[in-house]
Amino acid sequence: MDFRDSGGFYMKTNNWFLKGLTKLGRTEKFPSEKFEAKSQVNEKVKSEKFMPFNKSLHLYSIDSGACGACNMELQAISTPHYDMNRLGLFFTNTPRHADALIILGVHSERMVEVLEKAYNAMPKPKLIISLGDCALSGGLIGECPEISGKSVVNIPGCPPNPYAILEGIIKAKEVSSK
Amino acid sequence: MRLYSYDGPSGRKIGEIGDYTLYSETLVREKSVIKPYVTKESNTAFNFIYGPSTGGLIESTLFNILTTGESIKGMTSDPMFKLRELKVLGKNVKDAMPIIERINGSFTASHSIAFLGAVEDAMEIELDEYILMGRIIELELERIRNHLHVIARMCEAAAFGVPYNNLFYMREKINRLIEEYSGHRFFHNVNRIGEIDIDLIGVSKSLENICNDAKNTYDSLRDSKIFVDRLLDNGVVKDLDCIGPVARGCGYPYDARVDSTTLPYTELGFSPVIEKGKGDAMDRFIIRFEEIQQSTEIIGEAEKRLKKHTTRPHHMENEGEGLGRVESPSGDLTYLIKLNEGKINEISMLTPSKVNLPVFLNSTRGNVFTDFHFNWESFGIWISEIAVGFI
Amino acid sequence: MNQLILLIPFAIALLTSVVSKKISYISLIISSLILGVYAIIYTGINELTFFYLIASIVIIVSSWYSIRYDKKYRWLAPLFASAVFGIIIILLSYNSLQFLAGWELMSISGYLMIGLNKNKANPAFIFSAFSELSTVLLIAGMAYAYVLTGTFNFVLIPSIMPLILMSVGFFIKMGIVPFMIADWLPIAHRNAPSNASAIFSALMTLMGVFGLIKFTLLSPGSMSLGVVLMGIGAFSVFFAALFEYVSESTKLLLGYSTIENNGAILVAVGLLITNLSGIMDVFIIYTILMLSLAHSISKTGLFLMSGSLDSEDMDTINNSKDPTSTLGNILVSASLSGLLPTIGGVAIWMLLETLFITATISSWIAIPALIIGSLIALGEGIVSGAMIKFISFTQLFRNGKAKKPTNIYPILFAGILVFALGLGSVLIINPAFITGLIKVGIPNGLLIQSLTSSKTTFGAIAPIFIAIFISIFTLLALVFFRKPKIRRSPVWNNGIEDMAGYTSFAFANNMRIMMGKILQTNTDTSSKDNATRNIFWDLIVKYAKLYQNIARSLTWNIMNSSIRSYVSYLVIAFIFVIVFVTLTN
Ligand code: SF4
Repeated sequence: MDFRDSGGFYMKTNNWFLKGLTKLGRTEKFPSEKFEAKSQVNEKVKSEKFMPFNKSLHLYSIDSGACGACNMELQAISTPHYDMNRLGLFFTNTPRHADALIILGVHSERMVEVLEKAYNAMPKPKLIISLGDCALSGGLIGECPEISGKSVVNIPGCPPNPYAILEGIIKAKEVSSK
Repeated sequence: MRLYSYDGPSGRKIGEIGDYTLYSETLVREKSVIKPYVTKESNTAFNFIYGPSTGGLIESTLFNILTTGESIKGMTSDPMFKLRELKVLGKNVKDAMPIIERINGSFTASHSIAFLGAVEDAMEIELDEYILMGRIIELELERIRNHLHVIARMCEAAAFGVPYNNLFYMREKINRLIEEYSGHRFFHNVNRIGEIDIDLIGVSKSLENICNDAKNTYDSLRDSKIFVDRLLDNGVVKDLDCIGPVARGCGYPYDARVDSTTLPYTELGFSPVIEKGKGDAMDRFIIRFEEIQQSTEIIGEAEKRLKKHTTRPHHMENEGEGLGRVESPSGDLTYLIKLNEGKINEISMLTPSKVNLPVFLNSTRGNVFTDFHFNWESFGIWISEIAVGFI
Repeated sequence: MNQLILLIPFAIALLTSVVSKKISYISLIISSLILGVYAIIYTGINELTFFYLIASIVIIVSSWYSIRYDKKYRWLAPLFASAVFGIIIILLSYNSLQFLAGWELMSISGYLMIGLNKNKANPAFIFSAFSELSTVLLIAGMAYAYVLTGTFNFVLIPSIMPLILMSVGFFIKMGIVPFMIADWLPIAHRNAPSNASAIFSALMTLMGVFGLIKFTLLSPGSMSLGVVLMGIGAFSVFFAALFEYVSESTKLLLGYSTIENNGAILVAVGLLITNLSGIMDVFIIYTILMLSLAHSISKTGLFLMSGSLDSEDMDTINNSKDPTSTLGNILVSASLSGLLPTIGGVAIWMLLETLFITATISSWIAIPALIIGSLIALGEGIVSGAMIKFISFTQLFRNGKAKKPTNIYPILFAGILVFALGLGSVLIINPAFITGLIKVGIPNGLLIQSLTSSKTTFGAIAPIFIAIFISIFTLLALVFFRKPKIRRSPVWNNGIEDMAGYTSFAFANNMRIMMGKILQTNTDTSSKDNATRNIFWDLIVKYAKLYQNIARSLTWNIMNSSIRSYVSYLVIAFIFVIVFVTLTN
């Protein structure tokens, strides 16, 4: 195309704001009727006291040995169909700002240190959420990752559906605020 | 092996597979020498570590950037942090299949079809057209989804909210489409030896909308001076050893869909799109969008030839060596296996991510920090298929 | 009393140096003490004898350091002593010839000190060549003065011309742009031993200043010459500060710092030559003295410091931390950055005051004064950054594995001295400028003021009060808030051990980018590094090549770097001095 020729770009009004407005209302209602909740709360951890996360919850995820599908599905909860922000959920770029650590994938030797460091770097109170069969039990691939903290909520599935992920994270938030 | 032989080099070089080097027509018994990436010592530059765990990367990998402050003078990477050892040796194909599907989630169809291609090559199984067309449709659906994902990630790097959400919206639609037709959002448990468990009739109609939407977004993005400016001259590829959309962005018509005859793409009138540019991120961006259109057309053609399933394979060998190649969304994906009494004796694979990673590292030289993400995402490299071993 | 008697102890030190290094250094210390006491008691402090004091402090500190430092060089102690001897001759000289003899002795000893590292004869040769150029200019200026006045004695010279000739000669020794060879080349080539560097940087350049002042006071004023000197000075300050900031070698950084300080002094000298009004002149002279004092002591301290580090490359310094040397260094570099209440702070304050007072005068000189004042303020700001870089990478960052820096007490002494002198500056400066402000609780005698005329005050500072305020507020903060609670948590470095390093190069990158045009930063993103091109270095190399080619054929036989022939030259020069001393008295 011609944008490379003549050393210039052709100008055209391109209002992304207006474009965004035309795409209104794509977020879906949570399909509560169809949906059967699968996430399990770790009863042992539940009895421990938590500082409440009543409002927002900031998430930091670490891939300890995932196939990439869990990563994509987790990332999908921020997309228009699911829109995590309306539920007060946000991704952060560093564990220093995170309330919950989401672990994906199986145990891998060199990631043990990383997981531990990230968990230590998080301010208290903090939660761990295990996402996907790999992180839960190792699934078909290997063993589950080791970390000094216990995971509060396990979200099963290979990979879990974005709705299942949302449901699990919200459950983790509720557990903590009880 | 029915299509490949051990011989001298012939055709284009693809990359290392096990102890061999794969060319598009032969397997050569030589280790392909990977040029070690040398960064010269310089007392003015220092190291900047990016990764393994950071918000900007989806997967865990480490980049060690040599910089003098803003510009990238060189880069090395350590992708082996999340190394997984998969237990497939000694298993029979049926048991190994679920593990192969979990090597790379977003290329599940490619991996399973390439693996099955190798198995069927070894077992000397003939496939009927229904299965072949079905597999082509799977691969192309996966390609569309992956390309949408890659471009959306590039928009994310530019903090371009509207196209980013728009593209991920489309990706989600494709995911749901796949789920609707195959029962799983990532093609798990769909492909078996000589079989396909998916009913794909009607899929191209559902795709039309998405394709149009993608075209609109593509046009708008290409009109956006800000966005284009971030991609032009960013990550210019100088090596010839690249494959997939990266190579096609440099003007090389490298595509397993034309030089591997196991899947009859050429019968559908396929020829690879190439972009004769500089080989920068912009070219890869264009290639990916054009391939979305092309894939939609291929799916339409293939669907026309989908006839009701007739026979199951009757002839099966128990022993042998096989090679299966497909064009995954990021480039050539090849499996080379040896079967012994129906069990996997040896297995090695060639993944596009592994071939393209050094190319990426080389292409970053001379960029600045802010270019990094656009370039990285434009390659579509998945660490999960690099940091993996078979035991 | 003939003050040349004071030369005798230094001569003894020079003679003993052949026998024992230690005794020589100790006798240098004693001789300097005598000189200092003489300066204070017998002459009272005036603008010229003040330099005796500075010289004696520098000699004491660097000789003290040398006692432990000078182990491996056979010729260093005699050369050191003879350089000092030459310097003392310059200081005590009654006439131009003595002055010249001292000058020559100092230059030749300096040349030989660099030449100690024999495998690199070139830097020494170039140094010597420029020294000779300086001597030639001085001889020309003095001969002209002789023609005008008919005597070699220091009497008023009716014309400005001799001063112009001589000032270029002094520039060469002061290291003013573009003549920084004297100070800079030996340092850049890492050839000079540390104590010799201290002598080069602090004392030889000080002699340039001394000579300049001496002859300025004998010459008539000249508006245009003054402004030109101010311009050159400001240019030196600004550019040297920039290059100081981006230097990667400790000694190079300090060398640039010397140029920058001498530039500041030159600005003050220029202002003095413009000869404005009576009260201002005195203030300017004290500005020059304070600047020289501050610079000489601090620079000696820092050069000695750099000698006790395990590397000259700021990135590879690996000494373990030592609180004593850190304290000494922080004080010294605070003084060099012009921070109150150290003496350097007082000096820079005085310089800026003089410039801004000049800027209020309704004459065309107000405009250059304002511009130069801003340039200097800008330069000083950059210098603070450079000093922070120096301190951080030599003392604060990285607790390395190598041994602690040794021989640190002379440095600590220099540090405490600049601090104490800052507080005591009210005692040194002419009482006309010392006052008090009872209203805000500052008793008489603690406030330094700058005057626009003998009645009106322009500005004032009280170093002691600044020190008191800093300590009171620190104490208050400690009492009220206790020791700050510090939560230490491990660094989050993407989940792995800290692998990245922050280099001194990276520290200076902001300036490399901002001042890319001036520093000629290589911003070609594909090249290996984007270091700045050292334009001055290039210039010097060019000069050096040119000079070498011309001089090689002419002087190769005389200046063949053989120690013996120079020692004989030295002896002859010495006899020359003695003869003139006896003749002229
Ligand atoms: S749980 Fe399944 S989808 Fe998730 S990382 Fe493991 S294999 Fe992949």
